[in-house]
Amino acid sequence: MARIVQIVSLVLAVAAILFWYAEHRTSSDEGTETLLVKSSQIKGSRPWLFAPASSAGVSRIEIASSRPATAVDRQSEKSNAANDDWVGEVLSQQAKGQLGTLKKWFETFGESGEIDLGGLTVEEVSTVVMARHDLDEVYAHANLTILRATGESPSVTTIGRVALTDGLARIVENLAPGSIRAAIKIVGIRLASKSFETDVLVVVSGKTDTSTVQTNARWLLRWSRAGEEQKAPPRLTAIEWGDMETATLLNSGERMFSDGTQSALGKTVSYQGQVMHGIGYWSRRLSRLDDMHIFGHHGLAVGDANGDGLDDIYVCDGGGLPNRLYMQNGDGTLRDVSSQSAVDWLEESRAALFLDLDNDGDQDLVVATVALLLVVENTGAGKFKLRGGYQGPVDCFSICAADYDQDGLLDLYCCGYGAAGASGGPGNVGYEALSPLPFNDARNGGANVLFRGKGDLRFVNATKEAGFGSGNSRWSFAASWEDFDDDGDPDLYVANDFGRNNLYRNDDGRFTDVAQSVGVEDMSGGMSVDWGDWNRDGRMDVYVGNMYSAAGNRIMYQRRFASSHGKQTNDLRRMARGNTLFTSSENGHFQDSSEEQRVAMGRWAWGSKFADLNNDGWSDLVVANGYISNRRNDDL
Amino acid sequence: MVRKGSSWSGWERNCVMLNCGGVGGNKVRPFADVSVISGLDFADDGRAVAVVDWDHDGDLDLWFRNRTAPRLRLMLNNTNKNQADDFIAFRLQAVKGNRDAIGARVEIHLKEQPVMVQTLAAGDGFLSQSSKWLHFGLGDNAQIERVAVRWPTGETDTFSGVHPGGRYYLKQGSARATAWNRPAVPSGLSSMVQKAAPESGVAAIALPAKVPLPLIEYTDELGNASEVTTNDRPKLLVFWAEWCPSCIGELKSLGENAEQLTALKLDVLALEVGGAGPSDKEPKKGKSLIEQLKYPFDHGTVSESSLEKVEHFQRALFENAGQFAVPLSLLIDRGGLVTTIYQGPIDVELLLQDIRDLDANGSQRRDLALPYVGRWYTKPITPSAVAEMVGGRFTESYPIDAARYYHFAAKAAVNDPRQPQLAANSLALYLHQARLLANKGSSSVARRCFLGAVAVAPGSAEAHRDFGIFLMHQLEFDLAETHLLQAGKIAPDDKRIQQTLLRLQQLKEKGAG
Repeated sequence: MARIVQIVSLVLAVAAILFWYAEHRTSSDEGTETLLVKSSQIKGSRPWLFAPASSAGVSRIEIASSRPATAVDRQSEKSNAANDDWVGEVLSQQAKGQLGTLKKWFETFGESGEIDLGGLTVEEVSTVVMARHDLDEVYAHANLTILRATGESPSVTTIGRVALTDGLARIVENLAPGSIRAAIKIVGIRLASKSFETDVLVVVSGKTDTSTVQTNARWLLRWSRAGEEQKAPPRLTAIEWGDMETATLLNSGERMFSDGTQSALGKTVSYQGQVMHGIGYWSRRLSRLDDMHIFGHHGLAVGDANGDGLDDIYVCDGGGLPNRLYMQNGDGTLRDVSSQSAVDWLEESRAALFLDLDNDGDQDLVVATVALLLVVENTGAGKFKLRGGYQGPVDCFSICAADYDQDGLLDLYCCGYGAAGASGGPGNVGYEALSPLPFNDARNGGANVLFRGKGDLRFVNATKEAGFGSGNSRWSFAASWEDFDDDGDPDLYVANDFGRNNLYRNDDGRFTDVAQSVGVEDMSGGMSVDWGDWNRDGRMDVYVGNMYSAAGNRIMYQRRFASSHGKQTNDLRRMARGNTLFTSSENGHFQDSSEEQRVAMGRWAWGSKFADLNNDGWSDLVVANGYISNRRNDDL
Repeated sequence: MVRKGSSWSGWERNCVMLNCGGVGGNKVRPFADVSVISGLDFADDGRAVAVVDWDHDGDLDLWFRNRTAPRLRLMLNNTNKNQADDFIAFRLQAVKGNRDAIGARVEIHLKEQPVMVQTLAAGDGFLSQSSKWLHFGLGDNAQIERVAVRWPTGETDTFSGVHPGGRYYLKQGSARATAWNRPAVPSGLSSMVQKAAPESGVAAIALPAKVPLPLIEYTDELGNASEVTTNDRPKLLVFWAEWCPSCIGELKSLGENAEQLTALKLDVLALEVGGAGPSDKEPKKGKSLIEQLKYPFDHGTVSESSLEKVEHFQRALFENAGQFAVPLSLLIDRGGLVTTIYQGPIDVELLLQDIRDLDANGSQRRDLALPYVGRWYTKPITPSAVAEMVGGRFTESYPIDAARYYHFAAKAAVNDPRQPQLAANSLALYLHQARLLANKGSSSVARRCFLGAVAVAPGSAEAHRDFGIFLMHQLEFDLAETHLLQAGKIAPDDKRIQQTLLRLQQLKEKGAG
């Protein structure tokens, strides 16, 4: 049981940030203004921290691998699926290894020396494939076409490896050799005594002379299970094709988007060092003493800082690295004005907003740092002055602004994640300090804070007076305002990691949580939220970024998990399902359209946004995802 | 695990789902996965996403903020390369209420097509804020009938005279749209693959505050058990292995610069790690190697547990300390506090600079640690808080070191209300370890723990009493008596102290007899 909980925690637990200037922080004072802060100037710099790295330099440091295993090594050894009695995960790992052959087969298609699938399949492997080769056109706009067939289309069954490869070749036969990429991911596994079956998602892409093509398919794979020792890898006995879809973008060589970063930022000093090194690098060099942590939760804001009509960006960064204000030149490139604009704070910063707080026509700035919410006045032409800092949530994540009381002054809502300060011990906060309880419906996170604008860039904590009481401490990552009930005032959706989500209805500046009654509780690991009218019915829908974990799905649909978790199983399964699209209906309720609209699979989703990417008039979805990539690509 | 270099839902590719306009008629036409052809499917650890028509070409570009490098991506949309008029964009100007018009809702009513609606938000997605320009894709043959704006204060304006392909300011109460034109400058943007430079693993890391070194034991060149001390001189502690070429390079370079280093009163101690092991009392091959190198400083072999402690020390300070690697050097000030960590071979010039900076403290030292100029509004961490944090991370694995760290923290916590708690933590750890070790017969380490206990808490009757009992068993009667009497003074009602003193008298007499 403990082991299962450990796996589930591992799979489901979602990011937290550590901080630990705990003694600087106490709980927010309701109704009082807690101005603070003096800014100090900084002197030295230390450019040698990132001494030039040549490829030869890589070998200049050696790993002392000869030393005996430490306690830490032994601990991580324990977490390896192969040392575990979690049979499904072991088989999944073996199947994953086998599917590498199939990936290779796709990627080398059309090149000399076809990959032998003999080790992958049994001799009489059966292929259940759609009878007809053509798919229905479901979308065409400009240079983009989508063809589709569902798993319900009539199928034929063929036997043998030749028939198998004939079927597979359908996907890649028009693609230029060498251009093909394939990804096969196991998302479900079911065990029987001598066999097992897996659900896999297959994405194969490549180029033709005139287009870029992406084929997505869902397959059921049946495997024979090797003997008791499980030494021999499992072999495929059948492939059954399910849903399939092909997207074709004419005008090849170029995909829908191109990376323009280097042309925009390349001339700034911070580009090569600060931008081109990840948090993995920085958290080896900047210490916990500076609040540099491994999770890398740093956001950005777009806004016109100097009033020239062009949007600029403010970029938050980890402790010890300065936040950056990059100003846009007329040609789209950027210059770094962080220092002369006096906004280059070094404290760990999570999120920022450009807002006209004093209604004087320029964009002021709010920055959520690890210690305080900084309020910064634009004194004209992109010069800034720190006006104050407020005690926000102890572990502040996303912030969002609206004028909830319609007094003409913007108000700020700040999401609190972990609650533990000093009690979590030095250096520990977030879920590493205090476990969310109960895991999938936690209420012991940090309290979210609503700041009401008082004018002159001053704020007062209005959390309680506005009615945010119970349910306000569910490990919140993100929130967004929207007048969902069309009554003229902004309401608020809050995405919570370990707790159910909130939808607060605004009635004259008092908030009531109606998430349950309108059907948007979404008991998942909520990480982000965005509103938009995806179906153009004039009502606002909401898309919630959640974690999707293939491992979580595999594990939790196994019978053993169900039997050990009983009633909780469905709730926990729900936590790993992925993103949720709630569609507003006429009666004020929302429908969960995620599965029907196939928008659940956002992987380990963070920023998830509606945006019409191809000007066809319909809002598409972009999901930035991935938790922690490290040198070893070995995760579940 | 992630701190040991493993991934956790890492290497995942961004997802893009295309809205197929799935509501017309009876057919459900769900979104399509176009992640690959979108060109956005990087395996970055993506975090924030902000939307803006950055290059003003009439389609939405995206700024990504990532955990991994590149930490920023400006993704330029190629949709509208031919400058089609299939979009329209608005920037709102409220007169009443908040000037940004955050919360305003814009509706575009089209001929024979469903309405389009957007609300101006400030902060959505995750840690993101998108442009205040509201961009609408219009699709083919869109004919705009009217544009309505419901302002945050409740009034509604209708704007006419707006056309596809245009960008307009919409001012509250004016009913008039004002066109905005992009700057007449050719774009300086182009696309290019961003490539992070390979990482050498070499780093010279100045700590933002001085951190006490854990107790490091080693076997010196004569084979004697020793521990690292500073003797009121700065010290460079070098961990090296004979199989590691860059280690040998480092020792050579230190030797070549011996004169300069000695002039700065620096001691150097090179500790071999390759031969670390409980049965290896003798330094291994390294010794002869060192003699060949004419390396002029002290050397020895570090014990296995001390090596683990160094590893632990790094983990206490760095979230991503990674695997232990050599060469690794620590620069320690006269008081035994670590100021700089060198991963990979040392650059001697830099070392000389760091020796000169040894006395920097507070905000000066914090600034030394920074790669870039910036500003703080918080105070630098105090020496006491540093030691407390590291102590907390040593408690489970190395309780004696933890006791020492808390001891240091308590000493440094002048005028700090946390002082009693820190001293209590230290005392509890010292005493617990002292008793365990005394029971196991490890008397010399036990004695040091007792000494620590009475030093950190001279007013603790318990510490003096138990130390006294321990000393009595060690037949050190006079010292035992001193501590028992001290204990008795602090806690006159403690019967056990009086009983022990009686027993001590008997033993003393017996001994004398």
